[in-house]
Amino acid sequence: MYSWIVFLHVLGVMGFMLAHGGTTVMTFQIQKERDPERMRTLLDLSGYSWPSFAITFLLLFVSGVIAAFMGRWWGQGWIWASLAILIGMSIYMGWSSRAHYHKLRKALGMPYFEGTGDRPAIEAASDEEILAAQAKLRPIPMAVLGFGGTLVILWLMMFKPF
Amino acid sequence: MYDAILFLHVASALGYFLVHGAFASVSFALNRETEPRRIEALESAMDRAGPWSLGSLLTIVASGIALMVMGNWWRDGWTWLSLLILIVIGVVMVLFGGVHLGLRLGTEEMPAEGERWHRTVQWGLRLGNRIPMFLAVTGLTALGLILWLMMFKPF
Repeated sequence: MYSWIVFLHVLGVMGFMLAHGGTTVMTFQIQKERDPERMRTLLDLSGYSWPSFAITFLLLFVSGVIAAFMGRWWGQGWIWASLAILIGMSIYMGWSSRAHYHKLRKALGMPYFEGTGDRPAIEAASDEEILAAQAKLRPIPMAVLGFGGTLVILWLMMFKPF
Repeated sequence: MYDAILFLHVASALGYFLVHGAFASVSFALNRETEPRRIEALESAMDRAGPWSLGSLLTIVASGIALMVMGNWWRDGWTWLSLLILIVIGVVMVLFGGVHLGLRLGTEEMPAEGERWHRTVQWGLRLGNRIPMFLAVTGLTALGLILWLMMFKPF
C-alpha cells in the first residue's frame, strides 16, 4: 500500500511539472514580446493551466502527507525541510506572480488579482506603461528558485540525509 | 555514483515534464485561437521550449542507459518494456502532434495518398481538435506505466 501511495506522489509531482509548463515558457517568452496582443496570449496560456495545476498540487501534497504518516517519517528532519522549502517556494511564487505578472495583466486590460481577490479587466494602459510593467518581470530568479528548490526537495526525498 | 546518476535521471525527467508541459498547453490553446497574431505568439512559445525539451530528453535517455549498465538492469524485462513504451509514445506524439500543428498552423506538409504515414494522418484528421486530449491521455497513461515499471520492477 505504501508503495502505491509513493507511486501516486511521484505521478502527482510529474503531473504538476507538466501543468507548470505553460507558465514556465510564458515567463521567459513574454519578456521578448513588444506586441500587447501577443503578451495577452501568453498570459492566457498560463491562466488556462490553472485547473490541472491545482489538481496535481493537491494530489502530490495529500499523497505526500499520507506517505509521511505511513512511513513514520515525521520524526526525521528531511521531511520538515522539504515541507518548509515547498511552502517557501509557493509563497515566493505567489508573491512574485502578484507583484509583477498581475500588474502586467492589469496594464494590458486583462482580469487581474489585487489585494485579496480577483478584479475585472479595466481599460488597457498606454504602451509605455505596459512596457514599464513588462520591464519589472524577473523570470530568472523565479526559475532558479522554482526548479532549484524542486531539485533540493528531490535530493532530500531520495537521500533522506537527516 | 549510481545514486548520483539516478538523481540526474529523475531530475532530468522533472525538467523534461516542465518543458513538455509547454507543448501540451500550447496544443490545447491553439484550439481556441483564430487570430493570426495570437497563434504566432503561441508558436513562438513552442519554439522557445524546443531546445530545452530535446536537451532534457537526451539527458533522461543517456542517464537511463548508464543506470541500466551500472545496475545490471538490462537483463530485466521492465527496462526494455519502459524503453519500448518511451519510443512508441514518442512516435505517437510526433505523428499526431505534427498533424495537429499542420491543422492549426498550416505549416506541416500532409503526406499524399499511398505515402507511409497517410493512414496515421487520416486518423489524426478524424480526431481534429481532439488530438491534444488524445495525446494528453495516451501520454499520461504511458508515463504512469513507465513509472510503475521503474518503481515496482515487476519482471
